[in-house]
Amino acid sequence: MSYSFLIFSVFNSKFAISSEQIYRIERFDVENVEYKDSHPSFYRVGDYVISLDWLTDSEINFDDPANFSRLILYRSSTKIRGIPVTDLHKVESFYDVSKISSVPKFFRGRPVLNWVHAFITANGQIIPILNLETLASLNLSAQVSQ
Amino acid sequence: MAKNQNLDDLISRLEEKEKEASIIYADEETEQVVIFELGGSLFAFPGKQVFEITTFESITTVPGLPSYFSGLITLRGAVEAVVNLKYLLNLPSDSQIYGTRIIFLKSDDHVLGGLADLVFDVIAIPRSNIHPPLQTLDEIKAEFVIGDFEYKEKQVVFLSITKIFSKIAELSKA
Repeated sequence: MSYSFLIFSVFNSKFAISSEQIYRIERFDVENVEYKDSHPSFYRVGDYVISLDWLTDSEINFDDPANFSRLILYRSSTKIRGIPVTDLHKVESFYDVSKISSVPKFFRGRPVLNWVHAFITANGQIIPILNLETLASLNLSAQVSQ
Repeated sequence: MAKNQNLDDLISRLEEKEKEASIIYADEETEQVVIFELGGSLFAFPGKQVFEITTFESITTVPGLPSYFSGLITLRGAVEAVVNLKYLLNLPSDSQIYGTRIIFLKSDDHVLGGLADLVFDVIAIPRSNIHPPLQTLDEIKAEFVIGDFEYKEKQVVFLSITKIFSKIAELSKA
């Protein structure tokens, strides 16, 4: 049994998503962002409009080329949602759980970190593995400069 | 001459009193405490609830983590959260956290780390030396304080780990 994760970053923070849960990865095009109350929460994918999950509370300036390069589309329940990503790093497979740690007991059953399934811990790095069923509840207030 | 004798007597009695205060009688109940510095003041935790003390190396911040947490750290392969004690105790915070210590605290089955500027000492003090908290203590600190005691002529605020965990649990519900 192996566990495979795509590791990506949003600005300076790294995250992991189970490879099985990825629906598609495409280029992030700022033209497809739908603005609502000056907060871009929606994105046009062909004929569909999907919700975006921002994994940052930093200010987002779309004119800055260092911003989002890819959009990871994933399926949550019956809906497709998207995560704007700064960089894609690699797909890493784990054949045992020695490098995977669970969420600290203190947080279990509490809303803080309920969007994290577990953590990849290697070389002093702690990378949250996203819980895609609860990610939308993270609701970070990414501020957009226009 | 008689005056001097009185004074000498007074001084020797004071010295005896001081000596007595530093003596721990074998049958007197003691409390092991971990004394640490935070924002220029001395604080202590009950030693029996201190799990481990490590030097600060690196900390991972994750989005959405409330400001009373400094971030996450690995301890013996497990991920644990580190509490920003200065924030919790309403002490002036600084961004320089490298070189500090992390005191890992245990309450029930839960572990949390607490950032301290310096760890001074681990000592056993007689329970009778721990005084009730001062009424003048600011409200925020008073919430976590068991009492205070003297250490090398300095006042040490003795904190309750259980109360700190309860407060963080209450804040984390929101």
